[in-house]
Amino acid sequence: MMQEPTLPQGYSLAAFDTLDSTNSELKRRVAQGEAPDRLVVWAIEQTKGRGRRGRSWSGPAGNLMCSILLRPNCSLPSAAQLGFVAALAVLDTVRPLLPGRQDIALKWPNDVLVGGRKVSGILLEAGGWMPGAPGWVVVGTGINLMHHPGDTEWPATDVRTEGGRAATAVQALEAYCGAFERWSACWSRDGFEPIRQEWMRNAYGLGDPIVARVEAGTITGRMLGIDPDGSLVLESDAGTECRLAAADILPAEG
Amino acid sequence: MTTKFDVDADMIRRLASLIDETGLTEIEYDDGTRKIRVARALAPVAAQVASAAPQPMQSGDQPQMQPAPQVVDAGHPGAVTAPMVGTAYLQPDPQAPQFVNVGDRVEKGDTLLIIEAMKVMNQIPSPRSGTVRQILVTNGHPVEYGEVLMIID
Repeated sequence: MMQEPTLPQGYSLAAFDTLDSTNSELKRRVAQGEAPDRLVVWAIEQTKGRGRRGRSWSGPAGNLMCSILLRPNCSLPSAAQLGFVAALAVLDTVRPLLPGRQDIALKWPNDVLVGGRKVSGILLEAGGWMPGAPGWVVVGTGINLMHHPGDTEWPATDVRTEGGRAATAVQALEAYCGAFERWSACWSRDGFEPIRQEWMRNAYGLGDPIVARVEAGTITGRMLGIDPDGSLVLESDAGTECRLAAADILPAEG
Repeated sequence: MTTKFDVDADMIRRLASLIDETGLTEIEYDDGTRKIRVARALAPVAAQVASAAPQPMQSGDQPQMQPAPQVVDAGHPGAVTAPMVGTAYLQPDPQAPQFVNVGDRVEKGDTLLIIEAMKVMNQIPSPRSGTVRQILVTNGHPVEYGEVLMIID
């Protein structure tokens, strides 16, 4: 029998050996009216993990896969800032496992990189937002503790491969939920600015050339940071400043 | 003079191809003595400006940028407007069928589309029960705050 994780006050847990996807399970519970604020769904193994726009997310046992349901009392555009809150929580979970590493950074908007390789992924799904009535946000997080896929567009890695401290999924879940609670409390109290500043302190590729893929093509430019609502700001090669609310960051060539 | 004109035409061509390459809508070039501005009037827009504090549109206002082929007033009784800036998706994932099609009957709260911003997939619910008369967004294209997405009545 596995050890029962200890979560922050106000959090409840639904634990599974196997699930299709923790986000899907949480959304099913939302649809059935069985998802209180701060319900955490955790699975030891995930068979149909999802990434952005139908991409799959590998979920072998040994890694952490979990989703947190939030019912924030804010506007829908502000709720998008929870992705940055989650990114800082993943950073705080991964950093102690890799002591001394100076090359842990955040790729816009919410990936944690170790040595330039992706060690985690976050997928946020929101719904139920009506004028004057806040809805829900599912914050799905995967952290590669023991395994990583080899066939990804952006190179991946895991904590073990990087020579990090061994952590069980239970330990990582406890650390992640604890950090998530600290950063979300900070966000509720002080707004996005402290989150933005901490994100910028850890940003990957600040000032460097990056390639952003949008539906109409790709934009190359120098990464300037994120603006007060979290949009990516870059200076295109033509010298124009662009703000992107949705894009994929690709590895810069050369 | 001809030489000078050739140089300008070349610069315009280069700026125009840069617009295509970057997906921008407008580039202005200024070398101190002359200024060239190359712009395209048509959306799709790749670089969108996210408004930090979006203001609700006054009734009667036209959207400033309207990528849809038809201009529909946000004051239309059946209008469903974008609650946020982002990229619109009509399907839950690229392999799946659309959430709704023209002619479909929908209930209040049914998901109509997804608007993505900052990698948050926001399922936009129908504000009312009715029939989908028009879909005014293009799959995968940006939408502005207050832009009319669909007509449902």
